[in-house]
Amino acid sequence: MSGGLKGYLDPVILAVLSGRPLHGYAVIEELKRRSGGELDLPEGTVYPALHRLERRGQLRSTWTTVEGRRRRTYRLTASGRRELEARTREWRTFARVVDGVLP
Amino acid sequence: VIDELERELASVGIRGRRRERILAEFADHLACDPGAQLGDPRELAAEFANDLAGDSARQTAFAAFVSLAAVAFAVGVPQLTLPTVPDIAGGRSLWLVGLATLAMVIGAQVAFAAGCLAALRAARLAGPQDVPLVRRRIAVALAAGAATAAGSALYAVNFWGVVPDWWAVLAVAAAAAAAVPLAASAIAQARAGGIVVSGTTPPRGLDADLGPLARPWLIGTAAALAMLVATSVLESSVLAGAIRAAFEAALFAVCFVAFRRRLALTA
Repeated sequence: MSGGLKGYLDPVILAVLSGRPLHGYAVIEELKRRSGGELDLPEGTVYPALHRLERRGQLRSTWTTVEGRRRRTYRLTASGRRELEARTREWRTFARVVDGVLP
Repeated sequence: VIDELERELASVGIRGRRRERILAEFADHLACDPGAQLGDPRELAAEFANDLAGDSARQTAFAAFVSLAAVAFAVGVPQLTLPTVPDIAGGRSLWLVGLATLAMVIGAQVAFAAGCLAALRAARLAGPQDVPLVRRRIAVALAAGAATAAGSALYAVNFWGVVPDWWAVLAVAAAAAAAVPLAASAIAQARAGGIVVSGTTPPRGLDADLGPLARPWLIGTAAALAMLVATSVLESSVLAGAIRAAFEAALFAVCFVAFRRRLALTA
């Protein structure tokens, strides 16, 4: 159901990062875990979104070293938290409206 | 995958530390899961490039707009503080004053129009298809802004010794100061232009910027009428107002034809 995620990848990533800082691979694993494996999108597509959200100030990232490899860890900023709240409200309204229409 | 992604990133203009970072993140991902399905490297590189190009076009457009405001200030203050307008034939050269005046008059209006349109489209960027248009509008706006500042400096040089020295120094210094933000914007624009956007369709027309007001003839008529009223009042002469209005209308028509396609001025 990755196709249905169009337009909602950014808030979904923000939601995953609202709990704790994570690196790219862990973000994808957490997405799969929370969706019960339903969100099975090409894993690489998460990285452009992470970079985009960071450029917009909604995420901040830092390098760490794990087993000799460089790893970029992302965390939510205050702006990201506000964006997540706004997009969550927007989604709830949308879902309520569609729920009311569908049989 | 990493080698191929490196090549694809280079081909879309993503280089240096940004590319190194992307590659390091993908390498870390593959180390965590060697069988990970990362996707087509070409599509991934295009997605990075389109995202980056959109964000940088937005930032560059707003920075260019601020630079043009600095030019407006740098040219406007000397024009407003000029004690008396010198006789047109009283300077070094009629050609020089003609060139300077045309650069200021035409440059300022083109810079204003192109700068506003660049900022408007940047604020409503629909996707990568709008990026080349925003870049073209910024380029035209910056070039016209530079011409305006140069015109102001030329005007002062032409009348050096005729106008008060403090005024001539002010005009030249202000034009030189305006060149700094203009140059910074031009450098940012050149850097942003190195990112290749892909999968582009033709950009939307002027109606995407101005909605129902996207009627060039209406805008041109309004500009000419504004010139008629302003000049008639300021110079207490309807004839002078009519001449300026006719010049404004002709200028608008020439600029519209010249920039119609480059700036996407039709609906």
